[in-house]
Parts: sequence; structure tokens; C-alpha cells
Amino acid sequence: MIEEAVNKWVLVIRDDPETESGGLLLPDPEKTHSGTIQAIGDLVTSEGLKAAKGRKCLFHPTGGWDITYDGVTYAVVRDEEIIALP
Amino acid sequence: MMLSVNDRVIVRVDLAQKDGIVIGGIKVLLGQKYQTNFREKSPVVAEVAEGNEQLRKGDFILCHHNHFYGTSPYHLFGELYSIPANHTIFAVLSPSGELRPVYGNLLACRVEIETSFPVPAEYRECHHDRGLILDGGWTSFRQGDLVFTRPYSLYEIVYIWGDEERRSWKINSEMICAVVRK
Repeated sequence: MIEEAVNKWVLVIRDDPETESGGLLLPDPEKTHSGTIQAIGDLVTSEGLKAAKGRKCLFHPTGGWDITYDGVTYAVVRDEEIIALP
Repeated sequence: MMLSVNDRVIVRVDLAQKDGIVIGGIKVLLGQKYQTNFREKSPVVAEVAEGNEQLRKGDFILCHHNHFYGTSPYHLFGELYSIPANHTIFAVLSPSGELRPVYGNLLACRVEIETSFPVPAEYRECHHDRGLILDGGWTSFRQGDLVFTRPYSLYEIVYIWGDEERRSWKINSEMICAVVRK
């Protein structure tokens, strides 16, 4: 498990995508752009975001990339790419 | 006597050394073999003429080649250049030819992608988004830390110390997004 993000990066564990629609299995479900914040970088300045570890968030669909470590996949997004904390 | 100001370092560079330089009787060659991605494109060896806390006068440093050309704005006169003290200075060459990273740079080794069965060496591949720290330099990262970076941000430095080709992977700390401490 990655516990520490650095600089202005935020690690998010994406929500599971919908794999079924109207009773039909979707063959290639799209990645979600929402998830749970796992770690927040030390240079993040937004006060709301700094205290948001463990909270759900929405982030920009084109932002960031994925890394996998110990079987867990994280979305790495820039702090400004997080658009809401629902 | 010239003083460096505004966070700059004054270095002495022989522009004819693009192929190599002699340090303490040992010839150092740079950028002899390029791969297609140009990650190995030649760094330049410079001698520090006026340093600061991280670089002492007389140190030999490896820095990015972009600073050094005839009409460069960093050119003072003769062989002297006043270059910014930032991540474009990669490392200091020790008398034994080892690298000591400076200015937010770190030395790392690449991490092989794990496979569920043994694979011959020529088929092994490495992650392009992580590295294992060998020398954290002046940063907060320490040897043995596993760092995750922006994809393809590891930069390979190749130099030939005497007769031996040496390779090091450099990461700039600004490119690091997450860390698993040792």
C-alpha cells in the first residue's frame, strides 16, 4: 500500500466501474473519474484538500495516470485536477 | 575574482571537451553511445570556479549540455559560464568517478516488472514509472526508498571513466509523485 504522496500529487483509488447496464454485462467498462483519496502530497496548498484523506473525490476525466503497486491501482492526479469533494 | 550571485554557479567549461575531459590523469568520455530515445544525450563536465554550499570550488560536475554554446546567455568570457544553480546540474564527480547527486536530483536503479515465471534476461522489462533510490543526495529520500515518478522521467547518464563505461539513472525530485519508504 502506498501511504505517502509527494509534491502536488494526490493518490486516489478509483471507484469500481459499472460492469452491468440494463441486465447486460459491459465488455469494456470505462474507468471512473471518482474515488477515495488515499494520500496527499506535502506541497498541496488547498486547505480543504489537505484534510480530505479518506474522502470521496471527483477528478478531471483526462487527468493523471495509473500506477499499480502490491495489486492496488492508484490514479495519480494533480491537486488542481480534483474538481469536487462530494 | 568573480563572485556568483542570484543563485548561480560560475563554472569553467572547455567546449572542445564534448567528447571527453581529463580529471586527475583519468580520461572521462561522455555520450559515446546514444539510444533512440536520446535519454543518454551528452551531459557536460564542468569545473566549479565559484561555488556555494552544495558545490565547492574545484569540484567537477555533470550538467545539462543546453547551457554551453558560443552565444549562450550564460557565457561570461573565455571558458567561464555563470549557470543557474538548479536541477540542470546533475551530480558531482568524485575523485573515484562516483556520482554524488545535487540540486534535487537523485540516483536510482530501475525496477524490473515482476513475472510469474522466470524470464531470460533479454526479455525482462522495467517499469517506466518507478525507481529504487541509490543516493538521495540533498533531498529527503534515502537509499532503499521506492519512488513513483511521472512516466519516463528517469534519465540515463552514461560516462566512461578511464576504460570503464558507467551508467546511472537520475530522477529529479520534482518528478516524484509518491514514495514507499524503506
